[in-house]
Amino acid sequence: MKRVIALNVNGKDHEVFVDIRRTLLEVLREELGLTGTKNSCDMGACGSCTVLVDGMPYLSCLTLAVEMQGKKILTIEGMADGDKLHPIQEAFYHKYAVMCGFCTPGMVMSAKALLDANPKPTVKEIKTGISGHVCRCMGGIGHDAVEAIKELADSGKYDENSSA
Amino acid sequence: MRLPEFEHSEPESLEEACEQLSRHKGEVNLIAGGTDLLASMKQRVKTPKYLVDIKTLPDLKSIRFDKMEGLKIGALVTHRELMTNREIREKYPVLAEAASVIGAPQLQAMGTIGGNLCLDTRCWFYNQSHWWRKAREACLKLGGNVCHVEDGGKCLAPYQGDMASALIALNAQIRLLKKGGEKTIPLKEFYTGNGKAPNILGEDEILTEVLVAVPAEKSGASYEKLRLRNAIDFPQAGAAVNMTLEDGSVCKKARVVINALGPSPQVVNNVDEVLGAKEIKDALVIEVAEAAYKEANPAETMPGSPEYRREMVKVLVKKSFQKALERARL
Repeated sequence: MKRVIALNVNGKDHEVFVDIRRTLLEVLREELGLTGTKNSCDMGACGSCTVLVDGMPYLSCLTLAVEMQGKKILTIEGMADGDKLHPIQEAFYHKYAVMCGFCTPGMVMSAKALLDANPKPTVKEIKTGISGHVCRCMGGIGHDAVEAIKELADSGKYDENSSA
Repeated sequence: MRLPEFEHSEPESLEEACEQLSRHKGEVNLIAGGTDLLASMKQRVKTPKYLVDIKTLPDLKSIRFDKMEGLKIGALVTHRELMTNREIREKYPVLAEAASVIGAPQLQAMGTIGGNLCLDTRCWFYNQSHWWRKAREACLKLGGNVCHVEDGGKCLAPYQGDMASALIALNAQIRLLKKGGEKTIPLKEFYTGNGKAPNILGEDEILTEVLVAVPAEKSGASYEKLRLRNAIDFPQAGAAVNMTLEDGSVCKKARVVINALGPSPQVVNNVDEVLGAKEIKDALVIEVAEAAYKEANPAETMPGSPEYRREMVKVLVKKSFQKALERARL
């Protein structure tokens, strides 16, 4: 059964006509062309499909698009301001916290959710904050990513309103 | 993996939700957080024709505490809300603790307490893709006649939720609503001990609320969980302890609940006898842990051998007991 669904993604309103069994991940990637959000395990166990829904980290592969109407969805495409990277992206870039990069979009979204709720996290809190991500390159959980987030938090440059 | 086809409805009241559930009985599922259900649907383990979404309902989302009546948690309260709620953190730290070890931050933001209590049992012969399962004869849980784990004629799939044992340790009750009636039962009686049909929730019934009494004076509770990684994974074993102290070092009453070992969380018998009126020392805590070990009987349903998981029950109970003791002494 198809239905018209209104979604607010990265501040823009979209209307899509999709089957109600489509997940948010499928709609983002296949209908809206926002392929920054990655599909890996598709079973809610790896974190690569993470997006923010009203500021909360959600696994878009286990979220029905039809249930997202009236909510504000933020994906990795909504992070940078034009050519200017978001501070979290900047931090990941400078710390080389990206290897193959497949887990990175999701991890950046989780890092944003973490820093918005807790701008000065401890290393342990950072590790817990991004524990829902599996990184194949950096060994389970990205140690460079932890350092990148820590450095950004310690620098005091992080401001949730700076962009996105 | 695409989801199978279904129809989706968003009832405007609990009554309407009950009405829809009873109308489509046999081919309907309630959906709240969806973290467990949608994964099962992708694997075609579950293929309901109708999904009734109760997330949009305004009810069932509050955490209320009253000095006389205790705690009331709406079924749609998320794990993250439990972890961050001030009243829960202060008065029921064990609940915040159990919620904080569920899955990972994403699953904590999505999943609800009601969903965790109604979680289906899991087994590595069951939670697999359609083509994987096709290679074997259908097991008991899938409606067949064999069990690939043990020949016992009974499904051994364990209940792998975290909240239930913590709540049972606190003697929590739950409210079940259906068309034409509501009842309140102890959470312990919700679970059947049969992996195939792990709880008594009727298909047309909704778990609406969790009720917990005011904690006793000088009492403390704690939950410990064993899992492969410190995130995402379901428990391989878990232990919750709730105790009340007398005179600072004698335990008056204690409840030990172990989970993820069998189809339902188990309350360990004879804990009060073991504790007697003796002063709590390390040796006594080990005796309690041994009592739990004796009752644990895990089967080979998940990664981690049953022997290892059973052995770890001792460690979990000991750790949990000591943390509960510290909290009781505060």
